[in-house]
Amino acid sequence: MFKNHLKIALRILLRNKVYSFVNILGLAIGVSACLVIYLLVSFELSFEDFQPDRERIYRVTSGFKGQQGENYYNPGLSAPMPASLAQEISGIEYLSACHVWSARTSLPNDKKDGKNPAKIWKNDNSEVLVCQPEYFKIFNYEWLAGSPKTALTTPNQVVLSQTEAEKYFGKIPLAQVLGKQLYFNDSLATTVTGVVKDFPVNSDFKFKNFISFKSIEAKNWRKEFQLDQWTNTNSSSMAFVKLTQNAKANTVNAQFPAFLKKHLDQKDEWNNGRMLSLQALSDIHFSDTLQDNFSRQVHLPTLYTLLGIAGFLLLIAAINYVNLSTAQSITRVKEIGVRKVLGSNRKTLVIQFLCETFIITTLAVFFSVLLVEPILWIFKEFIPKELSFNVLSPNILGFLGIITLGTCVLSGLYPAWMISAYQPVSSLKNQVSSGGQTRTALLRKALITFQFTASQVFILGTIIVATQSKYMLSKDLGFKKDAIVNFHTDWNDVNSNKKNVLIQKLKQIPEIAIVSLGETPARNGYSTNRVTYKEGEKEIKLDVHRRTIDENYIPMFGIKILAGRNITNSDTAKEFIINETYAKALGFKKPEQAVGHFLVYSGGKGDYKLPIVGVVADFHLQSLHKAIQPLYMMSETKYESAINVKIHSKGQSSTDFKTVLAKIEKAYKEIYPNSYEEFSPHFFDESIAKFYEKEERFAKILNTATGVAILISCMGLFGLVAFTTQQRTKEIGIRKVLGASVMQIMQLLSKDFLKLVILGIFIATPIAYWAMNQWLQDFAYRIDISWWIFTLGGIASITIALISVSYQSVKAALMNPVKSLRTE
Amino acid sequence: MLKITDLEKIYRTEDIETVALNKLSLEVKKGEFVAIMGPSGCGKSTLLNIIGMLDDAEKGSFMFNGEEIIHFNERRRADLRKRNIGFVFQSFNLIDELTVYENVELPLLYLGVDAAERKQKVEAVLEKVQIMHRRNHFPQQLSGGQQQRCAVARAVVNTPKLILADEPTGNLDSTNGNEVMQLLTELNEAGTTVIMVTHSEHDARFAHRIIRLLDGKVVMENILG
Ligand SMILES: Nc1ncnc2c1ncn2[C@@H]1O[C@H](COP(=O)(O)OP(=O)(O)OP(=O)(O)O)[C@@H](O)[C@H]1O
Ligand SMILES: [Mg+2]
Repeated sequence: MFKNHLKIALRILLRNKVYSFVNILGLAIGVSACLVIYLLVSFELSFEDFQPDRERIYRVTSGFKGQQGENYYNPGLSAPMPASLAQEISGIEYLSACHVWSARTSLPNDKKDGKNPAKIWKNDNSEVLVCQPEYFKIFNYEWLAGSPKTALTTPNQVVLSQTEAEKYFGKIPLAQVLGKQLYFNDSLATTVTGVVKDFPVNSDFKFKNFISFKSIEAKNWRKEFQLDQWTNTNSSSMAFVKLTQNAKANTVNAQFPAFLKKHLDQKDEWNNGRMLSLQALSDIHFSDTLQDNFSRQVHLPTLYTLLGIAGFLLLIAAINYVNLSTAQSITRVKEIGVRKVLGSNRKTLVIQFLCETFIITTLAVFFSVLLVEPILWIFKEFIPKELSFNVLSPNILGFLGIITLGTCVLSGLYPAWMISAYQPVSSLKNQVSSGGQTRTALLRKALITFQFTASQVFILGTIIVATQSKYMLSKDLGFKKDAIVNFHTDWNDVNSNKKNVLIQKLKQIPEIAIVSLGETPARNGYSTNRVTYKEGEKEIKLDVHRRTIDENYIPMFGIKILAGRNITNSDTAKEFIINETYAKALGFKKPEQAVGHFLVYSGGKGDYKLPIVGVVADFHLQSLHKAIQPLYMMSETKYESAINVKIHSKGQSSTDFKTVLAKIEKAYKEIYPNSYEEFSPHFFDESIAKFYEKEERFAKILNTATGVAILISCMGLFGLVAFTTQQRTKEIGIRKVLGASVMQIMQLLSKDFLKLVILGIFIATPIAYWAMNQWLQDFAYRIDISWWIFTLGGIASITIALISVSYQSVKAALMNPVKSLRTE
Repeated sequence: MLKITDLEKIYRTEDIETVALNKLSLEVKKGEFVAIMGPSGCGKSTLLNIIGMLDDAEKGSFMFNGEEIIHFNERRRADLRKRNIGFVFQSFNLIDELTVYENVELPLLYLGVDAAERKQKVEAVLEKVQIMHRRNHFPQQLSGGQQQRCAVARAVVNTPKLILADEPTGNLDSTNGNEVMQLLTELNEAGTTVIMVTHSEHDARFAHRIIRLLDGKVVMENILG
């Protein structure tokens, strides 16, 4: 019986080629979108899930109450805290202080030979961790050599991961790695005491060198790692804990305020706002408030949005199937009647039609599997490189099975139910009860409208995201950004004189117009200082953004001075320039009123009271997500390491830029011959474009989703029109014989569908307006959603729908009526 | 074999009611060959569909093999139908996507007959109606006569006790029509009850008895010698 079902199903597929093609391709596209999104989402959600006891593992993180009510969070804590926490907090089974260290590694053999440069490996932030032996009790590593009992108990010990051991020493038996020597940053000598297996790819813990914490308790290292500093919080200095079996995170958290009170000087008001709290291991991969320097954060709402998109695309594809199969069921009325007369009951018929759907979905799933690799390639920038696609893995096979059955039921059940309901007598007479027909016709209309509503929401979203992106890149930011290159001098070399020599050298390069010292006007992240304005009764304390600049800075970036004068160069701060927002915040109605007043800020060596000598027009300090905040600028050339270079841009091509960059690099290398840092210049305008990477990705996802939604919907429309024209060939012939024009016939065939598309557009408008307004709330500076966006989107939708409808209808309208009448 | 008393069938559309069968009574004995005749629209097909359990009546009684079935639901009727009744239609009603062989095989599939027996039965019946050589062709590749022979083969492949034929020769020329009538006669002689609707006096003479309908009522019965 089943064989018979399959046989007839295949023949029907082959007979209706357009129908089968549209169905299979549409479903394949929908399914592959689902498949790729499933791969991505399940990969991200699986992070750390291999870790035993993971629900008991936490990180102790810091928070600060800001002055305006907003809180700041830091994944680290002050370096002396972990030792005290371990002693004083109950409910903790194990605690390990951990320091992420971006240290270079070198082998001692290479160093002894004075001339031969040492063999050096630069390590990423995520590779070297200084930790206590408890780290290996919290996290479960598989030991390949050495023992966790002794491996990190004394100073100058290091445990390597398997891949790291092979990187340093080649493929030798791991037991031989034990006892080998390694240097970190040329100065910390260590002996390898253990080798552990690397964690699987779905982990943020990619550390490969584990240095014993005792190593940095020695005097010189204590200082570098700030082990006695209760006031600083550095995100590299962390503590991981494993709670005892029955401890609750809440009860541990409840002990922190008392702990802080005991250890911090309560006279410093800053300390009042400090907090500690536990962060679950499972949260590290998804947190958007706690960004450390070793893990990769994923935005959970984005994952959910993606899941939603996947569901939508599959739904739209399934709708095509429902529409096409209910529409063309008319041609099968006779077959159903005969089958019923011959003894088939409704159940067998439903099974038969589900078999057909099953074949189509199976084929679609098969093609979608072929599409996965190309799609992964197209989106490689969004997709973590560890992610791989293996069709035969049980997860994927299970997912494919569920998708096949799910799609089969979703798209096949209703048509099967509806088709099998035809009464045998009436179906043999070819007079299917009109009630049932109109009901499915109505459903079909509703589904088409739904498809085009969804597509239209996507279209409008795309237009709005694109408009906002363009706005962000072209908005006047209050400074110039073209032909400016910016780089840092060597971090390890604070010799300010070398820096000045470099600046002199740069000035001599003819293509360079101006050189200036100072962090770029707009940048990622920010640093603020507490600045006090006090005059008579009036006292205004604010957290104010800061830029250290020199006298060339303001002219170079084309920042407008509204009152007062430019800054004069000095080694340490002597005077301030502030922005208009700050002047207003201080209560000055006109910029010139602010000039001459004094501000107090706390530097390293006490308080400084310095005069305001100028007020500049507001410019953007951060991306356009953030509103412009109060700012002060000062010249402190001694501590500034960022250099900006403006290149004469007239008549310059990109190759000219390259030669200038080469010249700059040459000068840099002459001044800093031994730099470990790579010389990495950035074009300022490109850095600004990078502020909006997230939006760019969102735009790309949205563009693709829109494209796919439109494609699938239009394919459905195309298939339906193809079918109706085929059904109405004779009618069209008669109408033509009676004198209908091509235009009239096209109208006849397209009008009904276009009505639905237009209805979809109207329904989509408020939905898209609401959704995109939500999205725009993320930006302090944003576009207005204006009527032209909806007009443009509507026209786009109608045009696309017209194109997919008109091919078939034009073909039908142009057909020779004699021929179409004979085909009966 | 079947006994119908006071059967009523009324078609209702928005504006009019059509009384298709008006208190019709009729009895058919096992092994009979009955022809039903009458002008167009007098209710012949309606009657045949009710006898074939494809349609139900408003009122009256329908005894089939001594059992009252007028109140049977769709599923029980379908079950009774597939075991006992074979159909031949004027317009053949073969499934275009299936070959001759597969069309004939279909009733056996629905009865759950096993493969070997199916093969043997289908081949035997195709042999009998002489289209064995066309077994792998699709309906559109056959002449009308061949299609109707295939339809007859399909109707009898599961050896039903009753064959219902609605104008089986209506779409055929006289040679092909005679062949089909011959087949029906042979089947009847082998013991199958046959009820046939026809417009042709010539065809009706193959039957034992002719029932004439007018406006949904039996108006005359001729017993043939
Ligand atoms: N589905 C229906 N809806 C309404 N009226 C119907 C329906 N089917 C049949 N009728 C009416 O019932 C009456 C009997 O129809 P039936 O098909 O039984 O006639 P018939 O004797 O077979 O005619 P013919 O020789 O033309 O086939 C006719 O008047 C017809 O119009
Ligand atoms: Mg009739």
